[in-house]
Amino acid sequence: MKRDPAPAMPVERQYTNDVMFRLGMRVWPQMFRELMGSGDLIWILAKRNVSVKYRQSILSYLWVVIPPVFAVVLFSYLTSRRVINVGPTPIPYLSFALLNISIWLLFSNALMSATRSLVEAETLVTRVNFPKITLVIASVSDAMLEFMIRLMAVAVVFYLQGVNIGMGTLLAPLMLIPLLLLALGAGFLTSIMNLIVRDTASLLGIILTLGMFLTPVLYPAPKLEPFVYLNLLNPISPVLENIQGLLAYGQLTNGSLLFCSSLFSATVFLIGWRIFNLTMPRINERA
Amino acid sequence: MNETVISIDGVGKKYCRNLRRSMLYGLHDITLDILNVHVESRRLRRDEFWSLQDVSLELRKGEVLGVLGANGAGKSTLLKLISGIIFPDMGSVRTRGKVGELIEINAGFHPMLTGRENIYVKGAILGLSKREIDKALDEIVAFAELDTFIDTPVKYYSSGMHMRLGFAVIVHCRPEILLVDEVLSVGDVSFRAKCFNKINSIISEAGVIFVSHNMADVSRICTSVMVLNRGECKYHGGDVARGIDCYYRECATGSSQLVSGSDKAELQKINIMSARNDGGMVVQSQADEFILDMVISAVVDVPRIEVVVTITSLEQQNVLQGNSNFDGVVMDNNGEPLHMRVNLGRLHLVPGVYGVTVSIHRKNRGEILAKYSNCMLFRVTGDRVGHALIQVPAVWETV
Repeated sequence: MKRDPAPAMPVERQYTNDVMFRLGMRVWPQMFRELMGSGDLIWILAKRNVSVKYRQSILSYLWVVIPPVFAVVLFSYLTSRRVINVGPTPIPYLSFALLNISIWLLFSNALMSATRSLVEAETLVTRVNFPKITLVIASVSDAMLEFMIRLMAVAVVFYLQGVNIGMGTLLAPLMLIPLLLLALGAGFLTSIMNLIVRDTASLLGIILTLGMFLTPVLYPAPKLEPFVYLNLLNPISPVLENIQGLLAYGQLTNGSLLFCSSLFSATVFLIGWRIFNLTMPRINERA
Repeated sequence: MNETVISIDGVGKKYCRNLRRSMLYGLHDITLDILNVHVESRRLRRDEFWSLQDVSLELRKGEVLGVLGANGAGKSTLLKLISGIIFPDMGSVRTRGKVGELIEINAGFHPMLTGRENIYVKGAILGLSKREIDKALDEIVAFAELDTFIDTPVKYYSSGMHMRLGFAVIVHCRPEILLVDEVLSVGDVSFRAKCFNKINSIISEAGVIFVSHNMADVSRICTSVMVLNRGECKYHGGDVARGIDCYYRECATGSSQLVSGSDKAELQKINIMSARNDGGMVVQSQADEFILDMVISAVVDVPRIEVVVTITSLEQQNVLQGNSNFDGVVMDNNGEPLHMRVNLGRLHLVPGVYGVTVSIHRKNRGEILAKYSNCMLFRVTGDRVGHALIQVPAVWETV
């Protein structure tokens, strides 16, 4: 029997004012066990999110591909006419921009749907006791599916532009792990904030739109003075840069920065997770 | 077999009335939690009140605890504490086994998904693996009586169908602790009966907490009751009837007097002659006869009147009635006040609080001249505390 969350021994739980509210190390094994036991639940919730989304739509998955393709084609036109001047890119601009925008959208959509996940299931959150973390994790499935669909569009454009990709591409999906950890970690926090103040999601939408322009998505990583430092602080930028490197040259172009940003993402994930578990009961009594 | 599934010890939970202050306190508490500072929480801050205070209980498998109380007595808070959705400010809650909540029937149902898909989602939320749900699916569908609707989106379901599906999924998850909060009332009569039978059949392996305002349901399935009033436990014990009586005394204070009719008659005075006045009218259930003393007047153009006296339970269920017409009494009216006495005999009512409704009709035409609903409340005392409203002294012989 695979992943059976129902244990042989009855689950014993105790709730008091102080036992659960500890930041100590003892809770981590328990938190991991809970997460591992929730595999089926996350899978079912994820399937629900995806299958509900396009049920009342005719073009369904086309909506995922149309906007980024149009945006990128427009940008290609603008750059080719020198309205916008971007430097040389490791792969042809259209492929470069479409791949980057797909990766950026994976991050921003994942974070946005994570932020909304708890509010959308509010009755469930405040009425039933189950690992609420699963709602947030499952909400990311939607962004992941959309990413895979966009990847098909990316593959078509790569083929048309004759971009050669090497064996290094096989490692590229690994780069997405820190990206998703960051989206989830931040999502844990914003989802709870959104439960208290609904402005969180709107504000986050604005921040993410601005963030896309500050991140080297539609232009290569900046080499000039102030922007270099800004770029160093951006945890998304090394992911984009290194994926480009893997695709074009088969190697990491900025490994050390990627390592730092991954470490940062993992830390955000763990802190977000712990704070999520700590605050959930408090939120439930006020929400 | 009879293992303890819930033990609650001196639990208290406070809430805040003011939304903004509540948020502020929440932020304060969360910050302290994160900083791992433990604060004395016995003190109430401004605008806070105890939703539940110093409640202890123990529940074993095979027991059904009825939780009674007026709105806002803390019943739902208690259920939320048991299911672990919120944590207590004082005391401890210990549960052993899977908790099935029948608190909000459609919590967890997605309106766009079909019934079948929702069973999987809900089952997973309740901690079942996909295989376990596969196994239980047919049984759930059969129990919920949804056969042709099972592949219809849940948003087209009636509220009764919602409730049937919710109940079916939960009981088939084989919970060891079942929490039921006043949701069964949505179902139709036959499904309610089915639900009670189902609860009865699973209690050998589960402890049940049953919140209801319907005393008939409570006395039907509960093995013990707890009465809450403003967060405090007023009664807790295995004597269900005594608990129900306590609930009535604690929670049913204001009588909902209502005067209706064409206003052509008036009940000027009413008194229970046979009652002792002991902080309210008190009648001995088996010993006292029930004698009403009334002064009634009606306008002159009504030649004859008839009077109906009805005794109602606090749930507004009419228990018994005396009708002057059926007793062949003729009451002529000339506009002068009529002083009358009516003896309903020994009532044999189960101890509790009851109301008297007096209605005055125009003879033969049925026009209601005046109807005084619940015009006075009285309390019945006695030691025949049973599960039915009327407790008759029967004659028993062994043959």
